[in-house]
Formats: sequence, structure tokens, C-alpha cells
Amino acid sequence: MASAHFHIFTWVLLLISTTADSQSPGTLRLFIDPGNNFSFVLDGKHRMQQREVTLPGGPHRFQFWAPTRRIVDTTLAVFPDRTVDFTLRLPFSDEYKAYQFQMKAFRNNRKVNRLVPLLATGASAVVSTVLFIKYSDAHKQLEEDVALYDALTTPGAIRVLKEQDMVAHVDDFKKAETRFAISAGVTGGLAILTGYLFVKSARVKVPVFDDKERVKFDGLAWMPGSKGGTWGGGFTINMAKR
Amino acid sequence: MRRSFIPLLLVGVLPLLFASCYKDEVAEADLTTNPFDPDYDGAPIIELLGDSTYKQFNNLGVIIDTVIEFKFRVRTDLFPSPTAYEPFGVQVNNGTEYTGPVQTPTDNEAFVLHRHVLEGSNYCMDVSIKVQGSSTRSYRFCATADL
Repeated sequence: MASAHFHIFTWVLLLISTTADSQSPGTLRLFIDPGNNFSFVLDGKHRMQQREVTLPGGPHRFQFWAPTRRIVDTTLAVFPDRTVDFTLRLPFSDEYKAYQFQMKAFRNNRKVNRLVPLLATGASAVVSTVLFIKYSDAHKQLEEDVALYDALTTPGAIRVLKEQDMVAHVDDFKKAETRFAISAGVTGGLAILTGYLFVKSARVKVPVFDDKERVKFDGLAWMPGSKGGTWGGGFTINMAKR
Repeated sequence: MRRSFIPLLLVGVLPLLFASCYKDEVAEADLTTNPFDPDYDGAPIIELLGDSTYKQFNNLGVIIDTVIEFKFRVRTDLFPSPTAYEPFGVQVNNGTEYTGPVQTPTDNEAFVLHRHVLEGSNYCMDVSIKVQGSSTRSYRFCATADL
């Protein structure tokens, strides 16, 4: 009987003590990654966006979320008259990871369909330009030969010019012309291919990120709006088990 | 519709672009306008003025040969620039060559001699001019030895 009374007394003391502790406020400093735009719902009621909260002592439920991140649902103890730091890195959501994967695939597709052909066309255009300069130089050489022909006053020199020098220069010109024609053809073909691939890749839709975690998070607390607000519903996945 | 137009535009524009880069070929065989060119085909640079047959004597007054002199005019006005030259002739019957004295650029009359001719016979010479050892296109002149 005495023992029973002692137990009851002890429980009453503990309850008084706990109640007293719970009513003394403590401070939590939140170091959350990402630090710039995270939000949290406190005790399932209050949606907040701040880095430090002062709360009555005792356990408090926090549901953290940030764009592209998963909701982290956890309970934090607030100690009276103390300031405690809490550090958390919000993990990326599955949707965001899938979105990133899709974006990577999209970018790779763009690279293959745009950048690579564009670079190939550019390189081919550079080669064509160089070959065109050589082609022009070869033609210029022939024009100089013609000018020299008109000015020469020695039959022997004219014969050497026509039968040796110009034969070699015409040969150079024909080779340069053939090379330039091939190069120009390749460049033209690549330009057409590039245009086609640009058009084709433009039809591929850009992946859109659907932040489902945001929908869930928005449903966790009542959001007062200009017309009084609405109630939203949602559920939270326990991250500790994932 | 608009996007599919771009490749078509490229197909249309590129050939025009490349065609604009095309340059005419210059063939050496087409060059025939220089009077000093052996392949020259313009206005004749040598025009026959006349021919005369006469005997040649040595210092002792002995006849040493009978020749036909072909006198001709050289169209120096067609030369690209003033050039000294030598009259040059080749006898068609035996290939004997005759090279006359060097003419200044202003001399536009010259002659060549066909040697060892017989009275009443017809002789031809291929006449040209020589510059620095090489000859231009030749022109054939013929005449009958007539003393």
C-alpha cells in the first residue's frame, strides 16, 4: 500500500516536472540542406519557413521539405532553456532523380543530334574554306601565268611557260578544284543532315519535372488563402524505412 | 511545315553558294594571242613586201651565188613591248637556215635570203623572227628566180 502511494507520488512529481519542463521554451537551430528554400510543417499544423524555432520543451514533429527533395518526417526533442543545432540533408526525390536521368538522356540526345553534326559541319566548313583558298590560289596562279604570257617577248620563254609551268599549274588547279568540290559536297551534305537532325530533335519534348513531393507537402497543413483557404490531404512516406 | 522548309532551303541555297565559288579553268592551249608565241594565230606579224633575184659577187668580182631576197615588214606595233629581233628563214627545199642581222625595236623592215637558186625555178622559205635564240611562228613565202 505504502509502495503504491510512493509510485503514485513519483508519477505525480514526474508529471509536474515534465509539465514544467514542457512549458519552458527551448530553441532549435535548423541547418538544413538546401538552406535557401526549405520548409517544414511543425506538429502537423503550422507550415513554416525559418532557420530557428523556439518551442515549448518536449518532442515536436517536423516534416521537412524543399523543392526537388523528399519529405523527411521526424520528431525532434526541444530542451528547455537550451539551444540545440539540428543538421539534415534532405535527400533528392525519386521523381527528381528520374527527371535528372531523363534530362541527361535529353541533353545527350541533343548533343548527338545537334552538337556533333554541327561540329562536324563546322570542321568540314573549315576544311572546305582552306581548300577553297588553295583553289583560289591555284586559279590566281593561272591568271598570273596568263598575264605573264601576255607580257613575254621571248618565244622560248613562252614555250616553257605553256608546256611546263602552266601544265603543272593547270594540274594543280584541277586537283584543287576536285578537292574543293568533294569537300564542298561533304559540307553541304553535313549541313543538310544537321538541319534535318535539328528539326528532328526539336520534336523531342523537353522532360518536365513533376514535384509530387510538393503536392504531398502542401497537403500536410492548412494553407490560408485570400478566400479563407482550403484543406488539403496527403500522406507521408516514412523515410527511415526507405 | 516551316521547320521542314529549312533543309529544302539548304538544298536549294548550297548548290548556288558552291556554284558561286566556281572558277573558270584556264587552258594553256587557249593562249594564242602573243605574237611571239609559236602558236600565235592573230593578225600576221610578217607581211611580204616583195622579192628580188640577184647575183652575189666576192671582192674580186667573181660570181659566188644567185639568191632570192624576200623583203618583208615586221608588225612591231603588235609586240607587247619594244623588242630587238633577228630575221630568220628556212629554205623549204633543203632546210638551210638564214639568220639576218639584229634589228632594233624600231626597225620594221627586214629581209631573208634564199641561196643557190636557178633561173626560172620556184623557191619557198618559211620566214619568222628570232628573239634570244628562239623563233616565232613562221610564214611561208614563195618566189620564182627571175634575173
